[in-house]
Amino acid sequence: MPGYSFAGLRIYAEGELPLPPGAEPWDLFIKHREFSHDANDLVQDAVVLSWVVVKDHYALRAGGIDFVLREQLLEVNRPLESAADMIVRAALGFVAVTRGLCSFHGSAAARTGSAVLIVGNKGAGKSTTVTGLLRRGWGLLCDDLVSVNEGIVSPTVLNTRLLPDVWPLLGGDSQALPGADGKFALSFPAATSTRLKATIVLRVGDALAQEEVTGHRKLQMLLPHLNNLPGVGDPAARLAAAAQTVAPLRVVMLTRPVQRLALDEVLDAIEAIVSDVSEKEK
Amino acid sequence: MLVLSDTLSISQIDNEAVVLDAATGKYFGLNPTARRIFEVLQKTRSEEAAVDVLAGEFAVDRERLTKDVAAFIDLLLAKGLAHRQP
Repeated sequence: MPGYSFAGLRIYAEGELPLPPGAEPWDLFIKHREFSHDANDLVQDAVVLSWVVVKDHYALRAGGIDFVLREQLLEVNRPLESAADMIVRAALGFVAVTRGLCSFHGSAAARTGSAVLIVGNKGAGKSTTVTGLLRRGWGLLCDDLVSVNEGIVSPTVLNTRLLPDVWPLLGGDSQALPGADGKFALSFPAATSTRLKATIVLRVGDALAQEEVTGHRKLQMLLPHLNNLPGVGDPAARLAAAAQTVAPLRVVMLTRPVQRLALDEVLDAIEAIVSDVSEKEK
Repeated sequence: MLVLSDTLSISQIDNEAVVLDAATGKYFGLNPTARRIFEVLQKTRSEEAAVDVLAGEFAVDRERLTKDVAAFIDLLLAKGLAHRQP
């Protein structure tokens, strides 16, 4: 018989969980809601993405759902690629939520069977960091929207969007013009679906530092970066799925100095973390 | 009948059993014994039935178990994680 030691309910935190913000309601409206709740993965959704122009609107069909971009967000006759870049991530995020998949606002890359997910607040350097990994030979899984299904990350959006100041540093054409969101896009070859080995919470601080995050703090760190659609699905089930998704992950909070990008040091740290996880699994 | 809120879920994260309440956003850590009591209460919805189940699982005298389960239920009720139904 197991030992008996009763300590009752212990409260780790009196505050509220950092539940993720909802999707911006003005991003998209949904034309039809006839879609399947069957388990699916976003690779298939990405494959079946198709674009049509309906009168003055751009419409995107993803996973059986038609998304129509509201005209005030898009000048008529804007190039289709630009429209796609603006809304495809939001559309895939919606598909993921409706299918009960956990998707994070972050970037992911993979190498030799190990995937890493990078999350962080706006301006932390997610896309820049993942682009740095790509230049070191990693393959791109996704930028901006990362869907994790039973520990596996599948490739979805295969370009990174970079702020103008880091665009030339990471191999972008200096003559290019930014897209509708003011960022430049770099395309990369896709990695195949890969098991997630580590999640990096990227922050800006005084100096380069890293800290392993365990237990309930993983939820504190990662829930704010989960894509969320208020009113869609069962919140308790989604929270449970998020906990189940993050529970087995190695989560490291990585702080980069605010004064400089320190990209090489950050990349070295990430590669060491992923390598360490892979070694421990052997 | 004791009914645990349907907005609760329990997850094992590293060495912590964490009860999550999607309604309030609060979370609570349980030790392994408390986790098992929670799971049994979810299933049995009865204090007496839970004690019967747990008495067969743990090497503990029934009097102490009954007292601990009652204390745990009081805490669940106080935290709004459960309510009694006639």
